[in-house]
Amino acid sequence: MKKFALGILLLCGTVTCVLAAQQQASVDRPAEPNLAFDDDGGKAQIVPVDFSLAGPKTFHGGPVLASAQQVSIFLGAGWGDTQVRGREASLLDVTASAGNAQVTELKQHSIKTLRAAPKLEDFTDLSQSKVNDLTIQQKLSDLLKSKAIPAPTAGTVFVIFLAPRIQSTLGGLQGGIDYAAYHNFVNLEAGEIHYVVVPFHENADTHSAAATRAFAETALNPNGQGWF
Amino acid sequence: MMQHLRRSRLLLAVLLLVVPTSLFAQCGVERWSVKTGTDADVGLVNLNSSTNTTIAALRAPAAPNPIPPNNRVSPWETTEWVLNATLTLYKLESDSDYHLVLQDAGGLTMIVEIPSPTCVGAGSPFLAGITNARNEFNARFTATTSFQTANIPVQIKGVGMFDFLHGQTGVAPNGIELHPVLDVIFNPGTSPAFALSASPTTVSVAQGGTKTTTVSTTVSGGFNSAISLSASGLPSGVTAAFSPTSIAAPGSGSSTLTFTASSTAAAGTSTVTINASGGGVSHSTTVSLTVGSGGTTTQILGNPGFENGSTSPAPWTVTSGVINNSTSEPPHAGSWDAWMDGYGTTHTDTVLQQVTIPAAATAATLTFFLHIDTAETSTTTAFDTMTVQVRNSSGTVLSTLATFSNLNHNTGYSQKSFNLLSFKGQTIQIFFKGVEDSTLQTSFVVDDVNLNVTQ
Repeated sequence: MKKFALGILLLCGTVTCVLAAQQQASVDRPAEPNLAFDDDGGKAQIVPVDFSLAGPKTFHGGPVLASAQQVSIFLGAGWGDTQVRGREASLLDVTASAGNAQVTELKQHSIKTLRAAPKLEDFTDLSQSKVNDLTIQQKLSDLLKSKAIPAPTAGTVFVIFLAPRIQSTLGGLQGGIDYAAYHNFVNLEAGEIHYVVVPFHENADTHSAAATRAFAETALNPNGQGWF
Repeated sequence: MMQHLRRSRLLLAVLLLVVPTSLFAQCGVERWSVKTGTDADVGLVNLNSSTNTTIAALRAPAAPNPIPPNNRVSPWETTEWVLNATLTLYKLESDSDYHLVLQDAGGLTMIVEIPSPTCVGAGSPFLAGITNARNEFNARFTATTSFQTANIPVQIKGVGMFDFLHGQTGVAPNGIELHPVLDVIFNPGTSPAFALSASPTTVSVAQGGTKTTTVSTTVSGGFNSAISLSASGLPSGVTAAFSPTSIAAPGSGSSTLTFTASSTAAAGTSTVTINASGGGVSHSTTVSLTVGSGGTTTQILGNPGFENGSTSPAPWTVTSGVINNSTSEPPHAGSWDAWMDGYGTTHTDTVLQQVTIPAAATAATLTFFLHIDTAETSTTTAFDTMTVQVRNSSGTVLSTLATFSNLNHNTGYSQKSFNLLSFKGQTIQIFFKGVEDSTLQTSFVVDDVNLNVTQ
């Protein structure tokens, strides 16, 4: 029996490795740096895990947000842990630090950063699961329909902080490996929704910096065609 | 036996643990109801007939603004289109759609998508077609999460859908797609075939009166046979006569279909099916036929032929220089017309009139004569366009009736006809908008605009 189970595991492990390798090898990427294909074929902008790869941004046309206001959503049961929850305070308003280089860049382009709106905690148990961009869009749709989060204004940016042990994916990319955060947009009944997804990072500073970069890039490049 | 059961359970558990979750179907979010046919307006989609089109024609209209999340934009999203093009790329998206990039001979591209049947609501009228298209595609290609090259001629049948621009690969500038695809034919035209159409597709006839529409056929793939014509679904008291009764071989031509309503014909709107068959091939298309109750028909637009001249165009509101009596663009009748664009520079002209369609109307038909001439030489790209819209009194678009472009240029005038009965009881604006790009003029000349209301 043990031999049978071991054989099955080995076989499945091999299949998984092959599938994973195929998936990894076959991830299509747009030509533009730090852009990725999302789950329905559009482009989304990522913050690379190695921030130094982000490089200077160049304007390629397209709109910017006149103002940007963070609405934080802490998603996943992991945020219910006292120690983890303690980190929320440092993430609630990622542009609060006046000396922040990202904030300075926004000011240079006359983009106002508004005081962050109240947060939402959603302790749905998503541990050990993969959360792709469609899951995020559906979650935003559900939260807006239930009025758990406010209807967006032109400058609203929903920043979704994923709890520990939730694996984020975007198209064929994986959070924590291929990106530290990303931003995208979706059109729902409430209008055009801009959002940032930030996988959990053990290092609090890296976690916050990834969120700040993605938030700033949302304001500069809401539809993925302005700055990259 | 027990050991076998345990092994099966163990195998299932192991497989669930190790198979990537991405292999399980996940469905889309944005405009998903429209993409799969569970939206509020899906009943407006006419699946009984299809309309031949091109990538250039589908790319011509401006994208609606805003794009309604759960409703349709007529006629683009309420028409089943047939498109011949080259399938260049295909890919399986994470939302389980097959993303197909089509390209025409001029290099213009657009996207068509085949959703997964598992992501389509059981009540969708598209489900059978989507399943059919998915099976047809699977029989030929294996889509994966990476783009693969096909480069094969295809004929695609599907319903239009304006997607939001996200930088999708192959996307049309206005975001239009055929989504969902309902039928795929690879290497079309290698077998004899013909296409059938009717113009206009909306006809109103009064009791005791007659009206006509033109039925046309075009052949491909060496089709060479006479095509016989017939009509079914006629309301009581209405007869249909084709002249000629069949299209002679090789099968390309037209026939005038005359509807004759008796004085006691049943009032109301019916869908008349036109059937055509020949050479072992059959097709059908539909015409919406409204029989008026014999009431009085009145033309309710003011200054319909623009004969008040340029100094007093009211009740029309027009942009500068539109009301014209020059011989450069002669009118259909009278002395004046509305000449939009024609500058050869970036320019927009508009012509609108507000009118109320009585709530008691039993028929309301907008007609106008249109002449288009152009210096553009492209046969594929709509550089300059004129849209005809119905707006409410605040200017919000209620319906885009048609979009014409430099590709529709003609000699003389042709009459256009649209059924506006659905706007009865409303105050609406009849709105023409001509948009010209930076070079090579296109003139859109409109004359004798009538809104005939029967009540």
